[in-house]
Amino acid sequence: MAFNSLAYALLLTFTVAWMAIGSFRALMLIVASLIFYAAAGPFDVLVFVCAVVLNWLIQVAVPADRRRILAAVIVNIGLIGYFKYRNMLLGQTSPTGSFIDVTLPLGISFYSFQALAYHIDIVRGRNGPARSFPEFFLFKAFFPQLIAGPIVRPNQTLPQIQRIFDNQWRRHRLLVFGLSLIVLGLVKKVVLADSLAPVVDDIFYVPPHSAYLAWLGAVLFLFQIYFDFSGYSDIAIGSAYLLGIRLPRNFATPFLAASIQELWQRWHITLTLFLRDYLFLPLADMRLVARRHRVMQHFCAIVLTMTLCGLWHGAGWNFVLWGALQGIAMVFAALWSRYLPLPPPPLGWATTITFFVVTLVFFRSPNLAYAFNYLDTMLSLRGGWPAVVDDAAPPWEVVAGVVGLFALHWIEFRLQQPGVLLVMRRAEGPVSRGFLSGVALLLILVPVTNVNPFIYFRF
Amino acid sequence: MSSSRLSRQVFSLRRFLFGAILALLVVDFGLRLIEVTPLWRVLPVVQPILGQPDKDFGFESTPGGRGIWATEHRARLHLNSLGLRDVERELAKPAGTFRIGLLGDSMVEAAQVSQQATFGAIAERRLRADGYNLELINLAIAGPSPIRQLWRLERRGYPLNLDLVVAHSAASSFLSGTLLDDSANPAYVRMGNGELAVGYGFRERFSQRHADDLIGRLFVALYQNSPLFRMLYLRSKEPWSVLLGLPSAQSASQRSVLALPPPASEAARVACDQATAALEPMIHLWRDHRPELLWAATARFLDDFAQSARTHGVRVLYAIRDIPLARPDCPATTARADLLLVMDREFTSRGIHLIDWSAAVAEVVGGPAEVPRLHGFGIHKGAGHLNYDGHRAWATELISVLRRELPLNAASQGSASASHPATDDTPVGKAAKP
Repeated sequence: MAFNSLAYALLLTFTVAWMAIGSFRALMLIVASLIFYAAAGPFDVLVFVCAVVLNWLIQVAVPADRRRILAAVIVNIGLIGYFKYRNMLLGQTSPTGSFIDVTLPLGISFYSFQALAYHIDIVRGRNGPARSFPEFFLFKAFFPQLIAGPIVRPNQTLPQIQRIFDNQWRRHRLLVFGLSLIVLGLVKKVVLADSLAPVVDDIFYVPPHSAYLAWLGAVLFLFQIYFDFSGYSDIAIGSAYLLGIRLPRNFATPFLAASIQELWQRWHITLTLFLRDYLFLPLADMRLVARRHRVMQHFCAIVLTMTLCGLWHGAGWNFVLWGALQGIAMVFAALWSRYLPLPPPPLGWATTITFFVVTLVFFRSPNLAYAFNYLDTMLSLRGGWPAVVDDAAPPWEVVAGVVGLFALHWIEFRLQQPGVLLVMRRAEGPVSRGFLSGVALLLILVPVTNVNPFIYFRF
Repeated sequence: MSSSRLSRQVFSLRRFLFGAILALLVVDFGLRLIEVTPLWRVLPVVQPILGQPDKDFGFESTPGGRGIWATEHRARLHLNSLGLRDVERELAKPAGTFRIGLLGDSMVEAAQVSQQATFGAIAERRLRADGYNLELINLAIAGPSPIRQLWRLERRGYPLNLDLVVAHSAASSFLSGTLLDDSANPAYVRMGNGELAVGYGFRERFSQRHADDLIGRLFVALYQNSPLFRMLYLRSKEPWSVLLGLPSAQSASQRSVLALPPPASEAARVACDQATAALEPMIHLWRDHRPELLWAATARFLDDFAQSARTHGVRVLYAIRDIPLARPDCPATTARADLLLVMDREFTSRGIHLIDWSAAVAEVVGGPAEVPRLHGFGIHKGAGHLNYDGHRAWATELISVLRRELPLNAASQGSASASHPATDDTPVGKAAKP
């Protein structure tokens, strides 16, 4: 069920109302989560329920030591591997040359990682286990974060879920905060991401003939994917907040970052932290080489972690290369900061954003050959300044639009300042709730010319 | 519940509703803002409904209506003071001007591109540049029923004192039953005595019954002037599964995109089979006069059209498109030629000149295989309404048709050697080659 659908609005409204006035709250949340996920189809539900049951069996049957981690890795990475990377391993491609399978169960990459983090944290003593299967099920299935994150750790949501089971649930008082996040997410998704999608699709449909179009396609895709995914995260966090559960933040205006490391600290934060804690740190801390070569091992761990990050995003060599390039850039930036003076922030920002835009071409392309072809046009600067033909927007309008997108990003940064929370606290009341609920409902009803599922659903 | 608590809750509810009404106003303002700024090219817009219920016509366009067309491709739409998708025209024909009316459905109305980019406008510019003193007036209105075009001609076309009419219809329009369906606009219905008469079944619709009262007029005024109201109205007409955003509707549309094309070796055979299958009902209708009722309606329509044109002294060229084209070695090619002979006989016997439009356009662009690229936009290229290349190709063909039809005195002496005015008018395909 998509967040920008009337069905979701009804489900959320009913669940919030039930949580506020009803009993059996935990049961209601489980039922709502199942209804939410059932929209994906019986096959997806079956795979999900099997994954939950298998992970529960691991908890009750395997001792809490390395064996449990091994079992969790086998089950969860096995599930992702089978459903997501089978085609890549077998070399089976779609007509566009992509390895991505259209039957990929919805959200499998997210709920598998979440389960993995759960078992590792319990074995490492960072968190206690779920006390019952329903608790564990709700931790895994809690619908606002089920399909595309944020990837939550057990210590972030499990205690909150346990409070619901203990009848100690309390509604957050600042409803306007949750509603504002939902409205912000819907604006990002419905108004911005879905509007940019057809333009990006058109440009990437066949490799563009001019550098102007190629750059435009890449920059617009940068914002499309950001608005799409951060919009989803905002709605997820806002919805969970209305249900009395706090989810971690997933984006912090990443395109204002002045270095690639900072960008990744602000982009898909829960995934970055997951990769840092469960992949990079173990790899970097392994005693594989002599002490004097530990820096080299550290750098290799960065590149390997980011390469696997790329692979997580999609089954294709273009994703692998995209991830590897991020890792190499991080190593380069680390070396620069170690031996050379840091560039002024505007230069650092421009370099970072340009690098990210260029490498995103690998992310958006169906395969490597296409990506290189696209980049060839993009970097050749051929085609010159385009003439205005066939009712096309004049280039100055397009440039103004792109500047406007960066301006929106800056405005979003300003909206995240603590002062805004104080304004919200003062505005809390029936009028603001009615206003935000109305805007959210109307945004859902805004006409779309073509259906664009959230991009991260396919991961 | 104590009365003070109840009154507090009622007060809260009233404030909540006040907030919701505020939201309606803000979203309406936002949608208007998008329409009047360059943001209309990208951000969400609510497509206009440029018409209103009409007792004679079913649905008639509103003079002066404007908005942003958003299906397939975005373009600014503006109807002139006569309710036509055209530039402003004087009702009285200027002296010495040859007036041509361009009739047709949504393909001719061409809401997907700007008015200047429609094939009618391109053809007019180029013919004028070549010295022809003419006006090519777009009378088209969306809708598949050919009878709709006849009514349009009678109401909007003849008052303009036309000299020539070029009508466009899809071949499928005669097969789909729209000539017999009076639920949306006038159509032929069988009376008790077996004769066909014009039926106005659509007048029973709720919207028609209230077209002239206060509620009806208020409703029309609201959907024509408030993008928010229009959005809610259009969404309310969607099936529940679509309105709720349930995945069945979404995945179906995605599956159609993911459908695999046949292998190249199979493509020719598949195309031939498809052409044969598509021709079959056309042959049944035009040659065998089956189904009987459908043929009766088609014949009646042709009779009415011819009679109407004769009465007003207007010559008619009738362009029929989408008669499937096939490779010469496909049996459908012979069947197609036979069909055209029969169709031509039916039209010519009524004094109307038939144009095999698809074949003519295919020749302009270099063959049937090139025709799909004239339709659709972006990733949907290959199907749908005409794109910019399509309009240029159709304009090229229309010009060559009109050059044969226009009287010699329509070309003024002085400007006969004028060059083509704009590069975007350059014809495509074969015609563009030196």
